[in-house]
Amino acid sequence: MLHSLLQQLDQVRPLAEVSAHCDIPCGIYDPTPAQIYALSVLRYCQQIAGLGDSLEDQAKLGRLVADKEKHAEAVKNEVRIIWGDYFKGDLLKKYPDLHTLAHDIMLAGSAAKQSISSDTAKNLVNLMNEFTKIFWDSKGIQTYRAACPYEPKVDTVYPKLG
Amino acid sequence: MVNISLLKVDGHSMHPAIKSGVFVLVWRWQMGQYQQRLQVGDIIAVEHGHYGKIIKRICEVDLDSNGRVRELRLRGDNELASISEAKIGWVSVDSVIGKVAYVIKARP
Repeated sequence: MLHSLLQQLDQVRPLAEVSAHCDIPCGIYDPTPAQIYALSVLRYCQQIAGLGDSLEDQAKLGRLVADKEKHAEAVKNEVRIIWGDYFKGDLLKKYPDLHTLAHDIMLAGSAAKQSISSDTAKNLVNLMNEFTKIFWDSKGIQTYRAACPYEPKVDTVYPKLG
Repeated sequence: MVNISLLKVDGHSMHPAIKSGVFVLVWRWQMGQYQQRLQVGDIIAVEHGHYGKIIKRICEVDLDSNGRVRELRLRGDNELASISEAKIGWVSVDSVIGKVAYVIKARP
């Protein structure tokens, strides 16, 4: 009750705001880093699948798994910021499935951390494509799908700029 | 000197202790040589030279030869969504707006 009273007061006479942001609130949001992290998770899975039994490859396995987990976590973090800080108010009304999609990405990111399956990683890439399409649509920017111009060369959503 | 301020929190760097959208009551006092106790673990609001008004948790305290707080190191509880401690740097005790005394949350 006290909170709602203060909210009303805040609308009439705004209280000073104290920032608990990830960085200075610059207003720059872009899903591209998360897409690249998701693609790299898939690429790591493919590289892991191609490893042999040599000691050299076993050492490489350790590095690839560690990096894959780091990048899967980075996907979750980037999406959390865009979902939590950028999408609000009318945008949430316009995209009612966004909460479910963001939650699915959290689950898919965790699954990709735990797994070395390319299919699991592809699911993360696909969900990131859906998220990216919605993000650019919210900016009034059209998107197109094309294979990314590097391995793993899978279907990726890009904004039509310029 | 006693200062009491009511502030609105925006952002997720102090999640879950302090969520975005809540209000916090912060207070600060100083009387001559006596000053409010600020220690590691306290959540404070400060006026940062670069980031403006920010709310973070104290993680290190620098004392002068008389045991008075001179500077503070701060960090967010939710490290993945916070400006890093290194980026914030040492913060002078003079820039402290106040220590969080009460958090006013929305009804669940």
